Amino acid sequence: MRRKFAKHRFAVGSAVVLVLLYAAAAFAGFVAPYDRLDSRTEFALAPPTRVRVFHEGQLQRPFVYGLTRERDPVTLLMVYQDDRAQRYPVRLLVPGDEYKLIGLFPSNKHLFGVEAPAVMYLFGADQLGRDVLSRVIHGARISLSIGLLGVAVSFAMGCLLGGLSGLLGGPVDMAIQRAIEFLQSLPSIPLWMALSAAVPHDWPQLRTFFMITVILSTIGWTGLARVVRGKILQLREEDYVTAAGIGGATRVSVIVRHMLPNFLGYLIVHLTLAVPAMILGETALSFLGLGLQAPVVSWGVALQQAQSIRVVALHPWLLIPALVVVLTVLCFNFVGDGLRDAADPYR
Amino acid sequence: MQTAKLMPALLGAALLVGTSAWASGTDEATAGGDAAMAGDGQYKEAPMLAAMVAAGDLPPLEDRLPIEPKVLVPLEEVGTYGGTLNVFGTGAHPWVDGGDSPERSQYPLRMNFDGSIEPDQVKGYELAEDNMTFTMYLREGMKWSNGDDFTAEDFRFKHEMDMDEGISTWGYPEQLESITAVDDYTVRYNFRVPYPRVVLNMLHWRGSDWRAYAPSKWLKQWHIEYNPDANAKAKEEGFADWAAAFNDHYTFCCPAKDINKPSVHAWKWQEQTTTVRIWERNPYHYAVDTAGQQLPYIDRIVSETVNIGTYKLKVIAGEADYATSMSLTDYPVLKQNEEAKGYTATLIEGMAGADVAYTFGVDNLDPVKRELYNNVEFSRAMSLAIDRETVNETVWLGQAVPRQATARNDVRFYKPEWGEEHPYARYDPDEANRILDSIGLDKRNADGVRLMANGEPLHLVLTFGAPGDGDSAGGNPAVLTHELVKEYWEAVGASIQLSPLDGDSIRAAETAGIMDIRATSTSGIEFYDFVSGNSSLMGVGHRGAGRYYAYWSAENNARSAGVQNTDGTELPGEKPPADFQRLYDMARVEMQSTVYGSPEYMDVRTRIYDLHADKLWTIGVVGQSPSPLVVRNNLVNVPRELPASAEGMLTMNYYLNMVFFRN
Repeated sequence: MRRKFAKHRFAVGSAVVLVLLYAAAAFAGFVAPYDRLDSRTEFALAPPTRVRVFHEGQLQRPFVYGLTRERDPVTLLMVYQDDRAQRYPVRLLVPGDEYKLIGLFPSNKHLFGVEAPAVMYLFGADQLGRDVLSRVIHGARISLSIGLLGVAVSFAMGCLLGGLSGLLGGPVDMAIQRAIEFLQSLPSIPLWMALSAAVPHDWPQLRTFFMITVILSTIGWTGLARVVRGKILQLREEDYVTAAGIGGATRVSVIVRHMLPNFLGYLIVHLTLAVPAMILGETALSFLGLGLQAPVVSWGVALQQAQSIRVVALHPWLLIPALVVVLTVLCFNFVGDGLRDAADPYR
Repeated sequence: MQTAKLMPALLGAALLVGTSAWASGTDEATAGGDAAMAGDGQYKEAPMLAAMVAAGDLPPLEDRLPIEPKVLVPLEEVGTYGGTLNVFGTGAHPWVDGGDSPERSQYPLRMNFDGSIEPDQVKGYELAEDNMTFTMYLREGMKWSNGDDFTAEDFRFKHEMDMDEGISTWGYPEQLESITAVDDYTVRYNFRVPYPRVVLNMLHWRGSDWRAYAPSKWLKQWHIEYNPDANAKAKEEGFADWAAAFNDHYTFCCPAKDINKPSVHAWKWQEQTTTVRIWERNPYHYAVDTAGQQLPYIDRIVSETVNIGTYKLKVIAGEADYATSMSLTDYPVLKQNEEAKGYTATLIEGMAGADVAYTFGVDNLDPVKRELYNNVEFSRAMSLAIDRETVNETVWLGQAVPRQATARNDVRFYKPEWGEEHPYARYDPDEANRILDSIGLDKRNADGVRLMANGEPLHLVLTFGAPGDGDSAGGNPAVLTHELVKEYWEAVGASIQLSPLDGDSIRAAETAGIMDIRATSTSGIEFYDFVSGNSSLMGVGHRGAGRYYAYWSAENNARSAGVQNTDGTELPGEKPPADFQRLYDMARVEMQSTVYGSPEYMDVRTRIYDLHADKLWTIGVVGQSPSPLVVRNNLVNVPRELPASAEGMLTMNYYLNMVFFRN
């Protein structure tokens, strides 16, 4: 199976990208050049900084120019211009904002960056002068983990309820299946909106985060539960299951040891494809202002500033978090495809 | 009747020195016959009306205009007839952008840009020496849009309806004793107490066709006293009784129930759906221009109601001929598109004394918080912690004025130490920290958040009105300001949670006594503040301190209903402490009884803002931010500054009937 997957180039490439993204999220403080909330208002809405290697025709170590700013007298926009007299080399392991690596080790070294007073905003700065790249990297912590956590919750619920439904049958099956149909027939965004409106505003961010995850999972588990039920209905009539039962195996061990391995591959594929739905759900909710709230930074929160026509027209770099969402979702889909192909015995 | 030939000039001057010379006035241009008027009072009408007259559908122009029409002087030039004005409105109350407002954009009197007052719908007016009676002289031959005569009965009848318990109309000030129709064209107001403010009331909505007078002849058909068959008529129309039918036909707003309700304005309702409102010229409009052409110039106004996001897109795309609801932060994108889309965006002065201000929950029910929020040292420290210059440069395009919340700096009684030079409007986080340390907030928890006297962290919820659809964080300068201020306050050891709420939730939270910080904005326009009274309270007792305001409101309602609160029942809210009561008495009682511009008036207004500057119940961040005005390039006669009477952008519509399209 692994060899099969390795042949799927897109899937492998995507898996690498995802691993990098998760690594960046795990070490966000180190990888991001700035803190997620570090606001330098004097650089508000500065466009993406260009890293240069040529100065007056000469090849140099990578560097950035200093910035000067001036208000355009007609449009009143702040216009940023390179100050060619000031050059700041791009360095590795530059000291900057303090952070705690994986929440434990205090440090102020960042993977790359320039030393103050210069700034390097590869994705530009937002309206309050915060580095969009740093916000994307810090936001990945929330947005990527909500995908995993949400899928874990839906996985647990899906397996449990789908399993019960398949095994017990009768009125339990009936009730669970009707509940699934009901949940699936609800339009998801309005349902999420209603549920998240019920989350109190003054809850701590961590609890809100968990609630949002649960809300996203309310619909997520239904598809999986259907699949699990179907598989169980199919497998429980198999000879080897009957044999195991006659052989004295307990019900639990029949399920765990004999039935589960038979559809585990399928479940994994299903999970990979479910993660992007979770990420999109969180992004949509936060974008609408119903999910996570600042100061927590998720991709949806980072995108909130891109809601106005003004931003799209004048400061398109504030849409970059959306591109990152697209990239992530595509990667998960490719990986899922690769896994499915690899797990398919007929290919 | 007293006439003053130099009225406009005199009025302006008189107003500024604060005497009450505006107590009377005559419409000079009408009375004297304007020299510029063409051919011996030969009035001209729009082609679309001339066609209707020719077809016999409409009486000739002489029979539709009053004998002495109001002559208006166009701001730039005399116009030509025709065209449709396309505008957009937002939400349920599209009262700006020429939306609902052409329907009620003119009033008995009008205030000019220099602050002088002249008659508009009426021919003349007179306030008695003792301020106890007020007389208006109507224009003979003036008609409602259905052809009914506009007479003193329309004023008297409206007042009678206000007294009528069975129906609901918008009432009069409690100072009013009675209204008498002296003759068909003379109406007299009699007051219980001296009430000089009545002159100013006639300049805005208090003098409008839903508040001061009503189409009596038309409305009487649904009133049982005037039409014995009113109940039968109501049943026929599907109402329970005559009162229900009357109320329905009377309802002017949101939406107007009966678009056939007669009007005297430049345009009348033509069509109304949930998203589109159309007005067409009123063939009976009482005003002409200096060339004798009956106004308005523009045939039709089409207003589409959209959400604020769509509104902005439409305006930027050049679909609106006239727009006033864009926010300052939209200005750059407007400016970049104006050449391609054929409009011009300019910045006109805003009205706010403070575009963003914060009121602490002085009425919070938590005793520890209440003591803190009432401590002026706390307000001072929080004020010093805000870097207003940076907020202005970052969010307000550098166009607002960093200042404390107070009146605008162009009011006649202004002191710079209330606003720009307020001792605590500077940025000094060190001093802020020192003050906070000195008032018992010196202990901090592990996260660096200060601890209150009860050991709880200084966790403050900053509540603000959630911006409308499509106008959230990305576009709204107030919300961005809150985010910056949050950082400044966290830098001095508070923990701030931003909480956007819709209007209803805010009102509920206000009276519940749980408010920590309420974001607000305050008006600072001298005239409007005087007329409304609420604005001088600035946050305190209007948008903040909701428990006190609830008490005052209940007290007021009880008084105007004539009920003595003697049975010991508790009023809602909470009886305000002395300082707040003093503010309220000054703003809502004392100021209201003074003559606008008089020495007593200047004195009480000075004391009001002295008290605000001293107590610092409301912290201002920036104020007086301008806002964009978008005008189609060939649209002429649009005012580019706010009239002195500016009550919102609304009164710019005073001038809409003289706006025209140059071909």
